[in-house]
Formats: sequence, structure tokens, C-alpha cells
Amino acid sequence: MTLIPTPVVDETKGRTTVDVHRKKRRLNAAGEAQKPHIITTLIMGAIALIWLFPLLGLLITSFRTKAGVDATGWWTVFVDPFGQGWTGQNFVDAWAALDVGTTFWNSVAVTVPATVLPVMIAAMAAYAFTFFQFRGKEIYFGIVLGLMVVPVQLAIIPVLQLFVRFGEITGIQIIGQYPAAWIVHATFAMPLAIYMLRNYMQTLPNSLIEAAKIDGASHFQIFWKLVVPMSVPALASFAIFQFLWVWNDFLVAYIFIQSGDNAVMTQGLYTLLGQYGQGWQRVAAGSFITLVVPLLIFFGLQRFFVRGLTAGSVK
Amino acid sequence: MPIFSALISVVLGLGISLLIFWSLNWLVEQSNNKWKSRLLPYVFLAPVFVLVAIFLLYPALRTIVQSFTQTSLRRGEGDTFVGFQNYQELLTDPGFLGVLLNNLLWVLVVPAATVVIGLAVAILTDKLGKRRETTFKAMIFVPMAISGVAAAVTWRFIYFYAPPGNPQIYLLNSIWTGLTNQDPVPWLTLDAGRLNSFLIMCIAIWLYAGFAWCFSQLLSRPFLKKPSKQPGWTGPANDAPFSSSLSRRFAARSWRSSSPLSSSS
Repeated sequence: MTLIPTPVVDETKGRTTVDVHRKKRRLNAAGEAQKPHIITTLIMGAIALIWLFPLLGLLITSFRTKAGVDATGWWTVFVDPFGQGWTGQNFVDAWAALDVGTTFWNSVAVTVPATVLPVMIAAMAAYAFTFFQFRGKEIYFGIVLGLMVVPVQLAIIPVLQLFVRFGEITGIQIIGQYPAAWIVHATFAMPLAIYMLRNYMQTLPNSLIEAAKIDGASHFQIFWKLVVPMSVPALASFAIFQFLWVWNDFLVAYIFIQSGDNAVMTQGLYTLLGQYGQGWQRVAAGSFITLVVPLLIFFGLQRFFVRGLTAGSVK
Repeated sequence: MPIFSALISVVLGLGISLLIFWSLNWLVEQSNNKWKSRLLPYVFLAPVFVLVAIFLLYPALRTIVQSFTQTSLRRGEGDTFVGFQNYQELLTDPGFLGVLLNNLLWVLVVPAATVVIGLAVAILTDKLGKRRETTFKAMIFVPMAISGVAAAVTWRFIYFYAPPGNPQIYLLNSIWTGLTNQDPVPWLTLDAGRLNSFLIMCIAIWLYAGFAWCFSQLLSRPFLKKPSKQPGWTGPANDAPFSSSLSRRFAARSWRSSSPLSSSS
């Protein structure tokens, strides 16, 4: 023991134990206890693995050859990683089949206004429900909230009939155009958006708004210059949710945009799904192509929608 | 060309919404002071009222009314009122009752399971360090970013059925045949014990667990508002320095620009 000339071992035995003891105590004070951490990590790791497992299958399948996909399950690659060919061709095929050059921009054209519009309109309404006193306020709010229970499926036929009637009267065909999807998405986002934003706005300091009023600011000025900037966390988190929902939506796009020139990416994926005869590896690759934007939004803006929801009120 | 048309429509969509705001503002500016204060709340609410009335309230009411009528098969002929006949037919139809039971199971199982998982994730990750917390949350919440169509494709590789004799390339049947040495089972058409319903619920739980966590954070806000009522609760950590400093800055600027008093005070 004394042969090894490192300073650590040169220390007396007593001092070493004291050191270890101190270290242990410090860890305990910082993070409750050490042992549950390991168990928690293991449990969480297991849940996380289960959650990622299906996606892993999709990812592996998207890089396999048709012969491989038809012959063996995707999990066999763990046993025999190089027994069969890997290929990137699926992505090339799926890119062409999805017609990404068109459907991607259609998705953008549907999603961006269908996100910005409801957020702005709902913010105005939430402002009115928070900072105005008028007759029937709570009743109106209750009605808007109550309409949260109306599912989009229920509205499809009446709204389609409305659009058809509108087309007959004005000669402007809405069905198949972007605005049809904007309107439907914006409307069905409304109840939840108003509820969320009102909740948030109620936590804003009333004194600030009162003071602005006394200084002669109009409600529009207060809304744009005070309330909207202060509500950025809530607005951002709702906008991210809405973006993900609209981008990933299939039903509304399928009914109101359909598969013409304006078809969106989920519609393209659905079409690709119909061509499964050419192999599931193409469908898997296509699924991953459609996932790129939501995943980028999800990971890039994660800080916003998690923090935005939990952010404390302005102090 | 697609980029071009997309760009035009985005600009158009945003332009229309700005136009709505601008014209509402203009409208209010035109009226005199007495009316202004009375009208203003409704001006702020007008876009929502219009959208909700036409595309939410009207379809809902129309559907309710239509549920009491029978649509004529001949063109141009109106609907006839039939009272509760449609309801009677549906509620005595065993197929529909089975569907109702499925729905009931869905609304019982899926929200409960997602909330439990979302809460468990929140509680468990809370005990871990910052980095592990974000990593695990990100992994579990990834399905939030997935479309229903892509989720269907994903789970297909688990649930689907290949007839006996074919290579078992779908996970569940591969495990089943491997373990029991029996024929593969068409899981998604197997309704004994509503098994196929439960299998599809798993997909929904997988998709929505992240949302459950997010919304639990969201909906707890109004209750967190009054910290005095909860002893031992130390108040929300101000973990959004960006937003608060931004809003404070904006607030300060708007004071200077909008109020003549602030320059002297």
C-alpha cells in the first residue's frame, strides 16, 4: 500500500473515511437519496424504451430491402445486422410517391394560417373575457367552453353543406382550397385556446393594466403592447400544439382539401399507404419523411411549450 | 410553383386576419366614447362569435334537429319529422350498442391510463437530474409529434396478421407463435373480450401520454394562482426568464410610447 506513491493513498486511513463520509452526506443533502435515483432511472428507462420501441421498428424497416421486410421481422436485425441488405432507396421512392415538393408546401400553406389565425383571435377573446366587464360574460364564456364537447366529426356534413351552398351562391368553390381547412381548424381550436389563454391572462398583474388605462392607453394598445407580449409563453405553447395538430391532421384535410393539387402530406402518406403492394418499407420511409417537421418543431421548441405551460406569472 | 402558391396563401391568410383586427379597431374609433366602452368587449369577441356560431354552434344544432327527422331519398323533397324513431332504432340495434360499449371503454380506459402514465412520468422524472429528466420526457413525448396515419403504420408492424405458413414478420404474432407454437392470431379482428379495442387503445395511450402531462401542467395553473391557500407550496419557479424579462421590457417601452405621463414620472 505504501509502495504506490499517489497522494490519495498517502492519506491516512482515517482521513479517507472522513472524506467518503462527507461526500456521501453532501450527495444526500443535494438529491434526497442515492438509491431511489437508480431505481427511478431504471423504471423511466424501461418506460422510455417501450415508448420508443414501435418507432424503432418503423425506422429499421424504412432502411431495409423489400425482400428483407417480406421475409423476416424487423427485430431480427439485432441478431444479424448485416445478413441482409440495407438501402436508402426507400426514401427516394417514398419522396417521389409522397410528392414532397408539392405536398410539403401545401401542408405549410394549411398549417401556418391555421395556427396564427386561431391564436390571434382567441387571444382577443381571452382578453375580453379577462379584462372587460360586460353583461353575460360568464354565460358567453360558458357557451364557448361547452362547445369544446362538439367533435369535428359532427360538424363535417353541415359545414360541407355550408361550403357547397356558399359555392353555389357566390361561385367561389371553397372545398379543396386552403381556407376551408383554416376555418375548420381555427374554429375547433377556439374553445381550448380561449380557455388556456384566459387562464394565463388572469395571472397577469391587474395593476399594470389599470395603470396603463389611467395613463390613457386604449384597450387595443393595452392588448397589443402589454397583454400580448406578456402572454408570449402561453401563446407560444398553444401555437406549438396547434401547429402539431394541424400538421398531423388527416381527417379535416381528407374531407375539406381532398387529394387534388392542394393535397397535404398526411394525404400523401395515405395515398402511399394504398400502394402497399410495392412494399411496406416505402410506407415506413414515407412516414419518417412526414415526421421530420413535427419532430423538428417538437425538439426545437420543446423549451417553449414545456416552460410556457409551467412558467410562473410575471413578477 | 407550389412554393409560390403556398406563400401567397400564407400571406393572404395572415393579411386577412390583420385586416379583421384593423377594421375592428377602425370601427371602434368611429363610435363616440359612450358607445365605445359598451361596444368594445363585443368587438374583441366578434371574430370568435362569428366563427363559433357558424362552424360550431350551427352544425351542432343542425345535427340535433336532423336526428329527429328522416331525409327523403328523392331530390328536392324536405325532411320529415319522425320524433325519436331514429334513436329508438339505434338503441335497439345490438351492433350500435356494442359500439357504444366500445366507446364507453375508450373514454374510461384511455384518459385514465394516459393521465396515470403522464403523472408517473412527471413524478418520477422530477426526482432525476435535469439532463435525465429532459431526455426521458423527450423520449416519451415523441409520439405527440406523430400523425395518426404514421402511428397506424408504426403499429401495423406489431399488430398485423400473416396467415400460417408465411413468415411471421409482425411482432405480436411472432411472439405468439414462438411462445405457444400455435397458429398466428388475427389480433385486430379478434373481438372476444373486446381485445381488439384494447389493442387499439394502446396506440391511443402511446400517442397521448405526453399530452396528458402537458395539460396537467396547463390546467393546474388556475389552482397554482393563489399560493397562500396551499401551505408548503413555494410558488412557481420562474423558469422562463426569457418571457418575463421580455414582457417587462415591452411593458416598459409601451409605457414610454403610449402615455404622456410616464415621461414626467
